[in-house]
Amino acid sequence: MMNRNPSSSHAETNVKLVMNEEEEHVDPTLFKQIVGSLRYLCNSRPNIAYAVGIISRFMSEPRVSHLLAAKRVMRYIKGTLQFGILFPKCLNGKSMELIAYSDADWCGNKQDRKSTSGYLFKFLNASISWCAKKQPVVALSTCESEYIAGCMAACQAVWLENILKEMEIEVSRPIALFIDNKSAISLSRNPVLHGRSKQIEAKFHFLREQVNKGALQIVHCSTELQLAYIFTKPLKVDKFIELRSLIGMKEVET
Amino acid sequence: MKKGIEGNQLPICLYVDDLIVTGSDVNEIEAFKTQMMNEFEMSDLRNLTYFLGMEFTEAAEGLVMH
Repeated sequence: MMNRNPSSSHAETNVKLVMNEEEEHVDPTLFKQIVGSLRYLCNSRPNIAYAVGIISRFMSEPRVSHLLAAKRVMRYIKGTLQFGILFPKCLNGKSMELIAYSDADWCGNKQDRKSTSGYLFKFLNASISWCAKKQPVVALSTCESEYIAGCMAACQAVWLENILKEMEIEVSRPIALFIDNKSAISLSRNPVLHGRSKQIEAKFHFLREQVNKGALQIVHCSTELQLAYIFTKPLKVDKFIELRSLIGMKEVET
Repeated sequence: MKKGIEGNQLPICLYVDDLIVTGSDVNEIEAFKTQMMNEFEMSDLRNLTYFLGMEFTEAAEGLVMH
């Protein structure tokens, strides 16, 4: 594996990985070992979180195409060994700003039609927490999937705020949460669009509670500036490289 | 994990036998290190470069974890 060619991106933009009954099986133990190691790497490399999330869905019955995708991620890692997360120097007296981005695709999984949500937290401009996860329920609209992603980010925001409080760091409130979907934003403020949102599970209204309490402030941002985009969709190389640098990944010389 | 003296913070991250010390006041960091080295047998590895399998490099803009 070490002499393989490095690859410039972590995932194919036009290939959807699916469960294919006709394809040949591969050694499940090997596949699980690879995925396990890659998941560990995700702790310090947010740029591969999406790709690893996708391949780990095929742990139970891995086929040839899944192993190829896993190998592609490993090739990508080989090409980006020197990349790391930048913790920028900051001037004293800067406000303790915690900001969050949440995004979701819709029906990203072609088999069970569940969506993928992703979020990213930046504290003093350094990425500190991120996630790319398949949603537990089927969302009926993009608005609903974005709302669910926002709720996951809200849970994380509450936890992060508490842990920072434990370290005697007072985060400036409200925490800004950037979402690129306007109907999800209105839904998080008021019970609007009742006809199309009444099926949303009660637990996801945690987001609205946090917004109304003043803990979170939802801000609209354009898709171009949505940093959590990198956790929910396979991207073209140039967009991927742009977002990778925006989430604070930097190449170091050693 | 940390203690506050006169408004200065001195967060200490301890994992088994590895310590990261940081803080808002250089003198306090130095004092803490001297105190620890008197009490226990330990060596000062200077600036953070390696912790729990993560490598750290100082760049012009800040610290890079990789």
